[in-house]
Amino acid sequence: MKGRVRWDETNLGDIEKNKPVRQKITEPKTPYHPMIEDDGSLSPIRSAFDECIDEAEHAKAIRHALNDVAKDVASSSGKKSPRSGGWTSSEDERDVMEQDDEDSDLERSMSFKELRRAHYDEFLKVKELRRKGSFLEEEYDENGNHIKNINNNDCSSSLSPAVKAIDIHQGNPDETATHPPSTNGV
Amino acid sequence: MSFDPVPSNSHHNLDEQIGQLMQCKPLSEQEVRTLCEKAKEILMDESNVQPVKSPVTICGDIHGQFHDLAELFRIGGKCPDTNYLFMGDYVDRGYYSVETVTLLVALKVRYSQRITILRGNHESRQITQVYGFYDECLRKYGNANVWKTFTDLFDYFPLTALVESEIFCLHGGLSPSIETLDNIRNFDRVQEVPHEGPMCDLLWSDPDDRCGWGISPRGAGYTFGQDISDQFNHTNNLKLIARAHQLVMEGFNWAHDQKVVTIFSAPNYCYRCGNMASILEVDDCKGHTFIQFEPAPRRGEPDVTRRTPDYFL
Repeated sequence: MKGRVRWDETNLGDIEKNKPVRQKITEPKTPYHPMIEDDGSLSPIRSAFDECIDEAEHAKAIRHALNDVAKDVASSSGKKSPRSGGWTSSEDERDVMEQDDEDSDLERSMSFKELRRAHYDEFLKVKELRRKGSFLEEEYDENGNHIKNINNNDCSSSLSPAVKAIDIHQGNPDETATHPPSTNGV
Repeated sequence: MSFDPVPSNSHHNLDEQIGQLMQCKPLSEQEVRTLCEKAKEILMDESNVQPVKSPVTICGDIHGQFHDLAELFRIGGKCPDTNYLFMGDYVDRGYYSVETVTLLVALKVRYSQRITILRGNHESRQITQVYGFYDECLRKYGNANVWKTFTDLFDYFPLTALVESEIFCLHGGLSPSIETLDNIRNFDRVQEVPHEGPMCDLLWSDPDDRCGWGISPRGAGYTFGQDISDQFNHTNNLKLIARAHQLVMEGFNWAHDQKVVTIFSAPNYCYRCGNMASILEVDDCKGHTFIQFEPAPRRGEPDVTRRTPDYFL
């Protein structure tokens, strides 16, 4: 399988550089979604898949995690780092190939480590929300009382709707335990 | 050092509150405010590198998993019969951040010499607005006052602890701006966790297989290699760095040729990861024992199949 396809990297680079800004389609994915390239460029993760009972479920899980991270990183000022750089775009095949070559002997723990890395995106998420001005500000009125108001500049942030949707009641805290908490803020 | 900050006539009240909290019942808003005022008095006298004596049991992330904290106390022994050192991340993710952090703060006020509570990266105003604690306070109290009271208190939590001058405990990891423990002792910690700099790094960094300093994929703190840990431990005469901050499937995980250990104390993290939790007992003779534990089964929470492959989603 490997090396069956040769890409014209220069041409791809040119296209990448010159392509127009496109509309982001947020519709649900179609059932068929080949996250892994034909040339096996994500082979460490793929071989970890092979050990799993339910490949499809696993692929779906990773795809969601990576998409979330890719969205966050891509939207946070395009800052590049040796490791997060690989996840700035899920389509950026070359970055993925360059990533973590030295970990190839740790294939079995790759899947876990990648998922964990994707999960711990708290700072990136907060950074994004800060950019949108979604946080409570330290505001004080003339009497020095703390004013607790959500900034209204962006009601589409993930925070404000969450806050709005809260059913305020003085009930038994056990009642809150009906839905799993969001782990990726979605 | 044996000074007891709470007069004995208020012990009765406090013991009642601890009893109530142990049943996972939150205190009233006014009780929380009073409790946090007392806690602030105690915490502001603690050092950025709080000295701790053995025996002590060192614990990692709890993340609002109250019933698992109760299980931790069943397994490790009740406070104050067992001394505890918690390395942060009491709130967010789980359903019972309010009860969890209130109980730990109440124990701190009641038995200040028996329990040490460090600050984690989730003990922060911004992180708690996204990952659950803020919403939980609104839901359980109808307003954000309790959230405000606690996040103001978090600013006073010590950043690191030093067990018997040889085990350095903190939530995240090392910082390129910090060479010695005295560097840490010298800065003013009473503030929101900054987005960069040494105080941020202590709460956000992770050990890594790669040598040297690396940019953290988290976007805050750094990754540090074994060479960095060796140098830091040598410079400061340390045997071990104990830290939390990362899910590890067995509840503890050695790194850097046993110079660094990760301890994680939230079993079946987020009620779905299928991981074990652990605590580290350091005995009188400085011997180390890890105790692993699983969630205690209980009603009212999802009974997720253990060891599911989709750890995080």
